[in-house]
Amino acid sequence: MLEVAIRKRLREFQLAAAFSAGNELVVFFGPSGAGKTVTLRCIAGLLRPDAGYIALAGQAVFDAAHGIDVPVQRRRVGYVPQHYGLFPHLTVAENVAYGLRGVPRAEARARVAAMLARLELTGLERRRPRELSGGQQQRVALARALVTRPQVLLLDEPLSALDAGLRARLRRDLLQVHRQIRIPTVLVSHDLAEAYMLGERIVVFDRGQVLQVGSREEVWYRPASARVARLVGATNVLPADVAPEGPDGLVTLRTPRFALHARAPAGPLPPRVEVVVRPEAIRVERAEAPGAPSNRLPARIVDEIATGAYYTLYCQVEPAQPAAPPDLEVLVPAPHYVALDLAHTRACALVIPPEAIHLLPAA
Amino acid sequence: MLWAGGRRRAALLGLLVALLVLALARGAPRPAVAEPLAAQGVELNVFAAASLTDAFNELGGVFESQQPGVRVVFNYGPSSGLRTQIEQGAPADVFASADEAQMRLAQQNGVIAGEPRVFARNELVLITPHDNPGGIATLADLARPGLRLVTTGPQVPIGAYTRQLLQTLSADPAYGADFAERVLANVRSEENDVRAVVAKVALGEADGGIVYSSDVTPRVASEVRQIAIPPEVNIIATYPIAVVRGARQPELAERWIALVLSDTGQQALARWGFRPVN
Amino acid sequence: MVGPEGMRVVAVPREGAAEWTRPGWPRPGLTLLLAYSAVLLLFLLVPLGAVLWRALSAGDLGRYLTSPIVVDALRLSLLTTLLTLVVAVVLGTPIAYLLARYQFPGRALIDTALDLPMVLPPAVAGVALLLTFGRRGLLGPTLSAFGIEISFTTAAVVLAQLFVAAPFYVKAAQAGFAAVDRELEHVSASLGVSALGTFWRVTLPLALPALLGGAVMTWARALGEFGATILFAGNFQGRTQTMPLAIYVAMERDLGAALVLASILVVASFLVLLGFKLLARARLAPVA
Repeated sequence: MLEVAIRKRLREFQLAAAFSAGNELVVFFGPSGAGKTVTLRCIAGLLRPDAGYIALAGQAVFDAAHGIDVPVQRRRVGYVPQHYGLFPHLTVAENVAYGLRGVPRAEARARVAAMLARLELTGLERRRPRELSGGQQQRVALARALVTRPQVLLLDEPLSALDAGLRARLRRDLLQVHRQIRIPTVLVSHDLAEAYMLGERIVVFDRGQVLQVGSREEVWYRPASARVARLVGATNVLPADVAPEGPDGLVTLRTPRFALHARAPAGPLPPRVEVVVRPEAIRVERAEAPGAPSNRLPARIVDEIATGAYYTLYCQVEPAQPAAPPDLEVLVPAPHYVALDLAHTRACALVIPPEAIHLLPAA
Repeated sequence: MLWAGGRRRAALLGLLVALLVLALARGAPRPAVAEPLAAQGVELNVFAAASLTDAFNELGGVFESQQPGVRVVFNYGPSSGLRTQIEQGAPADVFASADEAQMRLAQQNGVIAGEPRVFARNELVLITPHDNPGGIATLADLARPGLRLVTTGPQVPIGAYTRQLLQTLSADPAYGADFAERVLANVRSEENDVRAVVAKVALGEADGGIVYSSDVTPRVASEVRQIAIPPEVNIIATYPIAVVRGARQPELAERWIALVLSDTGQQALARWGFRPVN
Repeated sequence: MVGPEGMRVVAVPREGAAEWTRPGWPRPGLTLLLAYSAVLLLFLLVPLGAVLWRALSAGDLGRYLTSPIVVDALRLSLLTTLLTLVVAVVLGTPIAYLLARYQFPGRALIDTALDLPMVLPPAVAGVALLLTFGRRGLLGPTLSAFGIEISFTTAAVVLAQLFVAAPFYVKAAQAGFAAVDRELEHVSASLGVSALGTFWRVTLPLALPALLGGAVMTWARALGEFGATILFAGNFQGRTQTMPLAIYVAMERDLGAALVLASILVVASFLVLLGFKLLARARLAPVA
């Protein structure tokens, strides 16, 4: 169990972070410099918040109001910094055994051997960190942190130093380790895909503020604000006026250039809202093909970016105004793009399923 | 690239270095006395015993006014050390030693031209710091165990004279046959030259030391207390002076010696506490 | 890097190792480089060679090697420099760590003040020590009250050496500590190790090459110390007459002894420095 509610004055802004987590994998997600690493280090005890409260496994390790500040040595945290922080002058075995000083030799040896086996590092005991690959170094760092049976595992951008192929493999390793060793794990990442893949819970940071804490689905599909929406890739955020509810339970949302229908949420709606639609949720159909009339917008592709498996299309809803910025961003799998021959047919129809529309109060 | 136009640049650099080396090569060691900008011209190198510092500095000014365009450069130190330097090829024109032993050694080693002449005498005196921490009142007190005395090594004239004095006193039953031994046991350091001995005593670091009476200059007198050595046992130091063989300025060297032996020179030496030769 | 079993080890070129791009040696630019290097090298090596040559051809080496003046000076030099080194390391390491890791008011001043003994003429150091520890110095009367008189003793030699040589160690150690990645210290703390334990097990081992380098420089500087020694400790065979002083004195008395002493100093220093270099290369391989 991990509870955090802290404030700290940083050079450019005030950090205010609050969340709690059980034995889950929590990802601190947000742009660089948002305060993620600072918060992580506050939990570890390497930085001191100005005010607030941090508790590990029900015990307060930091409580400004009561003058409690347990030194990092006694917090029983497993801390893995960026670039892993392996001791270059010690072997793998010595690195992993480093935190087991007080433990009887035989037991320590056994624990080290077991942890190395669990992380597939057997056979590397006598190697030095500089002789290891990036993936091996990461696992040694994990082994070292976990062998001391910490109450919480803290990882600072564990995958950022690796190339794409290695990252995928190590993400799987991390998940596997977490499943085996169920303690609260906090991982800092600025990579959205990584955060989604690893995070059971995501804490979204931006400029020192925690903008949202939730499951990955919540953050992904129901961002709490326009800022979160943009951070999690829900790049279509449109201001709209709300028309009164219709007979079929759908409300009408009038954006400046077109209207959409969405399911009426529980509770009253303000007169102005922001409409959030994820790019991959928008379906692209042939312009002339018949389809559901609801939320079917004739559009024209004005720009696109190809990334191999996907195409990102920038579209303007008809009537298109060439000089104006695009209205919608759409993510289309490449095969679909090819099937519809969108390279040549710039006219298409965008279909936005009502359930894909997420509403936020107007800013 | 660094070596573009490299040959020429390298040659220029080499020339600069060579010029620098040449520029630094001239210029003999300067004496401690501050001087106004010296006129371009001839230099006379005088290697003199440390005890002659004040007297020779004064005479140097006289000599320079007598010989326009000439600059006298002094190298003061222990006579033994100066002799070694001259033997190793240091550029000296004149050698003024505080004892005849060092001059004789220099002659034996072939670095002296002509005959040395005695130009001054000196005698020894016992000095203590002005507050006399060792409570030394007489020569005999020097043998008291636990005192901190300083002298020079036996090769330096004052060190030789001191040991000679101690031997003389040891022959006197009033002091005891082991007097020299006991006094030397109190010696804590063999300083470089007589002026260093004076400094250590004046600083209060040593309880006492035996130096030349001429070393108790007005500047030093306020810091030390003098205890006279009975004239019947006192050593008379004899100072010879000679031209160095291979001197660059043999004529000027002779003129310097002439000045030192003249009335002017002898009066100056007397003023600085030396005994006349005549 | 070493890969899985069976993979060949790929050699990594040593940092700075020049690679000839064409067969045939030397390259045109290299000739000039070597010529320039030779000037300084010869200037440094030829005089040393001259000392050894004269000493060996002077003959009667055996007599000199066992004469009391040589034995006393050698013993005294070894003893005092060793003591100086130990004290410098014990007292200097905390200061070096403090300067490397902490910011505090006046830090720049202390840092600069520690540079001073290295640039001041040793004679100035000698005078300074006299004025502090001499009988009439700042601390003189207090020390005398306890029956302690430092000048003219072997302790004074150690103090003189310490004054001029300790800053070398402190500066080198400071650089060594500063170069240790603080994240490693943080990780150590997170693993439950106390601050002292972290210093002992992480910081010190990683800074060790720099510390040893500083120690060697300190020892070398202490060995050659003359000006401060002669002013503060005086010159007395067996008590304060270290090798440099003995050489200086011997020059006036017995040139043969001076040459032998000088040769011993050259050879001993060379052996120690060489030994250190080899040791450093063998055991303290550069860490990533």
